[in-house]
Amino acid sequence: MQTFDITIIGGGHAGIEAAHIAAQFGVRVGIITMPGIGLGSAPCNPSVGGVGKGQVVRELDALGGLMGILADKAGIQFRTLNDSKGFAVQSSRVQIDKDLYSIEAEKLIATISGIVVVREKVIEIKSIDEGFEIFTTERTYRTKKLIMTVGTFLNGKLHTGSTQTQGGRVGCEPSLGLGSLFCEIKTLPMRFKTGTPPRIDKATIDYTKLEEQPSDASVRNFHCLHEPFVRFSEQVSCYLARTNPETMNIIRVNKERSPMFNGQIKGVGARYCPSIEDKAYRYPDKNVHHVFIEPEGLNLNTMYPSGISSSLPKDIQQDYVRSIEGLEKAEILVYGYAVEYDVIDTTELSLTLEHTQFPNLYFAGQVNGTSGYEEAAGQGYIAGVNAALTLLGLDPLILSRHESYIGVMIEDLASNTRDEPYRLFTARSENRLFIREDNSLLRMFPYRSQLHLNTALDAYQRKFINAYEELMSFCDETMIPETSPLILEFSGEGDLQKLSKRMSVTEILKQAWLNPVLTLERLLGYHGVTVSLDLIRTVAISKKYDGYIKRSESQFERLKKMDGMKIDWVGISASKNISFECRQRIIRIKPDTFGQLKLIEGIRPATLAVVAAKAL
Amino acid sequence: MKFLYSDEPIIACSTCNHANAALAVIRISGFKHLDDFLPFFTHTGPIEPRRVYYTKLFFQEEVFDDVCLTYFQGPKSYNGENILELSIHGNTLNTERILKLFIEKANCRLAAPGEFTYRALKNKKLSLSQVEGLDLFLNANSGYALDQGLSLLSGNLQEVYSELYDLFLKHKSALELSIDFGDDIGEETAKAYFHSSLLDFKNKFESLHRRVIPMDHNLLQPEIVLAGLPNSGKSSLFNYLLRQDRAIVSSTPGTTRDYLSENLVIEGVKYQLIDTAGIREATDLIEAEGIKRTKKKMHHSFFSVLLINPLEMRDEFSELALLHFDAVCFTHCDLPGFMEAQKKVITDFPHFGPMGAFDLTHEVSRLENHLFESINKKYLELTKSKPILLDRHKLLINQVGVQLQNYVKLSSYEEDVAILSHELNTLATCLSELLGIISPDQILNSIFSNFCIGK
Repeated sequence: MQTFDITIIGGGHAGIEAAHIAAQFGVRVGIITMPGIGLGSAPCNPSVGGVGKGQVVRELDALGGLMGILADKAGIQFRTLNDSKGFAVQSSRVQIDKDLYSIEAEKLIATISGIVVVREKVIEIKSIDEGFEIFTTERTYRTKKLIMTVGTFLNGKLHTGSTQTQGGRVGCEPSLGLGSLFCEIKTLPMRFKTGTPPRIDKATIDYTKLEEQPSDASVRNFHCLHEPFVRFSEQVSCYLARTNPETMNIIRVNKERSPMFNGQIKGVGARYCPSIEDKAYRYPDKNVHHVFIEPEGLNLNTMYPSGISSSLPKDIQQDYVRSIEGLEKAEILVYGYAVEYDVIDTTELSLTLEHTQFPNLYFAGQVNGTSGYEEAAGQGYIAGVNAALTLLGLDPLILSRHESYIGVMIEDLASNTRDEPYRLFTARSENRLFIREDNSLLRMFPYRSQLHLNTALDAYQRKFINAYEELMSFCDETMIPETSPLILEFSGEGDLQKLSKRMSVTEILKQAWLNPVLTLERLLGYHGVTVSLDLIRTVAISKKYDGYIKRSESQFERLKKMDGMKIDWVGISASKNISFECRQRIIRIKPDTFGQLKLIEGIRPATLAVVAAKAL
Repeated sequence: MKFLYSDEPIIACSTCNHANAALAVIRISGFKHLDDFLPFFTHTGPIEPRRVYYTKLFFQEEVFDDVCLTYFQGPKSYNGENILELSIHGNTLNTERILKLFIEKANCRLAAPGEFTYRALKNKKLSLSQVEGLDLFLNANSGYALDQGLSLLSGNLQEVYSELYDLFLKHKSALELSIDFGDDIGEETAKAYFHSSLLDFKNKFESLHRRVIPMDHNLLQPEIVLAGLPNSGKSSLFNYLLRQDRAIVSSTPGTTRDYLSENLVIEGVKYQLIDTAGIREATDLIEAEGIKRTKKKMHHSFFSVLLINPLEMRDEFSELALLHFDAVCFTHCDLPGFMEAQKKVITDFPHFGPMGAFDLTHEVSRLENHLFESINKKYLELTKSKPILLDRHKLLINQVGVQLQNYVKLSSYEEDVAILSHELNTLATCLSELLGIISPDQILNSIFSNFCIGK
């Protein structure tokens, strides 16, 4: 019988991150994954990153994760979202070649001697004295620690029109048994639902009628050891199409045939990721919606139309797709579907993602009710690293929500019950000006060095941190005299933006009208100092936000004091001043403190105001 | 506040004024079992909540009083606790004896000022604004203050605040929308939401801000200040208006060294009438201090009256002339040369406002009518705009006003939405203090210590 120290069920984005980091500690790792699916496959959007998510990918990368490396290698279109909105909320997103991504994942995992990939279907898992016994269709495995990254396969059910099939993904075998194996593990009373759009034949789209979005050469690659701007693959464009009244009308008149609205699907979908049916029925006045046409790969002949996911019958999908300008002759190669699946109750997980009732059992990814590859990968890393650390008797790795989006996510998951799929938004963080892409290395360095792995990555980070400290001091100490031509150059328009006195570089970087990155670049050039663009960005943006971050820290302290305040949820749930929806959520979670109430998903700030006013 | 965390039964006389009266009401609050108190009464049989029982109060065969007893069962009571209310005979000795009885024999503790209401707040029977409203209601000096107290108690004003908060949230979410969903909804739409929601919030806020009249005019304790050079007749007018000889009237200038104040009710509104030290070059330190206070009083007054003896114009007068007065009256018109002197003052200081010559001996009732009319007119004028009375609210609204102004300015040029959102959070903190989210302890302290005992 083959034995592992750590076994991961599922080879998706959570699974490979967990395996990859765990194996670094020299433990024996097994990935048991469904036959026929490549590692790290992308059944939904062919993209990695996005607002808030780009930060997660960079955090992972700084921690020694996989996702950044794979995304760079498979990246075929790069973009910075929120480009015009300030550095703190700028995020990178890359379209990936799905096949290439999976091939790179396979290649990378194969090079790690400590990982064994088993492609068999699991039929039963038993808890034994020293861990678990896993029975597949072929043989039995034994493991000390078990990480479940089973995605949507927990009692998954697919819907396209009235057609229903068992399974977690189109074209894959279902994994029916998993639900029954863990009947003692608390799952949420409701099922979650997610959906995908129909995939369109690349050659049947009239691109001349669509708005082109080319790849942006100025976006930095994710992995910090990669050449910043050298791409691994050929770059292609995405396109923007729009729905019109006819599109929406087709969907509206066929409401009865939508499984989501005729009662066939009972699962709860995410409000932030509505299907095209949601958009049509919930917003009857709005007919123009964005549809992003994204390539799924260089050699794949499908395009992914983001924004029109649907579970309508095939003929209707065909009709509404063809009503869109540019898609009149579109051929659908794979029809859209919705999938319903079970989700475990994450309030039973600790901050290491280990189950509090079942030691040595971890959960990560979509099975925890999150959506998104990045969220899954972040959890996979946390579960994997902590499984390995505890196995070796070392301290766990817990990321603070004040320092990372991964920390925000894990704390949100562990502290309240999901009632819709969870996605990271920058708004979930209380410390948005600090947890940025540009300083991810800075933020993660203390955590990474805690692991004592001493790889090339660690050497790079140490060097970077030293250079950072040096450049920070340089900015504080270097004074630009009022006679310098730079003072005039950096003055803006009008008297209010006139610089006229001797200033430190730091002071100059804080001026509202100056782009701190370009300014620092120019100042360093003037002084003949050459440093990397990465370093310039980190330092310049840190200086720019410094004052704001200090202020928000003092506010955070004040809030923390208030969070401990006891509240009476029974009284609150009877209050007429609070919306019905909020009351329902409060009754379900029964929060004891104001802090807990605040973390409940979907609680309106107005409710918090009412409660706070009363709880005083 | 020591009583913050105590939950033992408390007792107090809710009507006590330390004077004998026909009736007094004693309240006991926060006991666990009604049965503990039944042995003190001759009434036998069950006691139903919210019914009045006439019974004798006794202890160890000694009858204390005939009382009416009402039981309010928590949480359906004023402060959410079990409350026993006794109407007793209002002799102060009787009251003290009964209080002592329950303190010694039933483990009650004498309530601290405001403690009953504090428990109501703690048990969520009242919100902070409601407690403030109650304070206002109990200590109201006018019908208008009574109304606003009631409006806070019933949550009306709070509703206005909540509406404001909701509009604020709409704006905040517009900002977040543009950050997290800019790609989904498009830049144009996000920008449009941002601007329209900011405008909505700003308009709503400004309508509230208009209700905050300058802090100098305290409508809760409006002051009428009599000012003038020494010996101009302030104290005579003061005494006349109050119909009593409280101020020492003499012909030696500088007699009123500090200031005197008395209540004066005009058209149902209670004012403080203040007689000040005359403004002149002080000849001694105490007088100098008195004059300093006069100027301060003037500045904070609701209505100021300047009295002038035109025959005694001195250099200090030009200093006075810089101040603004609601009314100016000329005195000593019985003296020779008055008319010429008055004309000269009017020509020299044309901006002095309403003027009239009054002979304090013969025309004083006409002066009184004239003053009262002007005072009442000003009061009605100021309350017409439904001003916010509570200082804490005024202060906060003004603070929000300043921050909002900064924010609006910032939003006109700052393109970094993350910074905008950060600044908006500061505004949110301020707004939430208005709704009572974060309340500094000293607010509570001041409310509860200003409370009359028992409620």
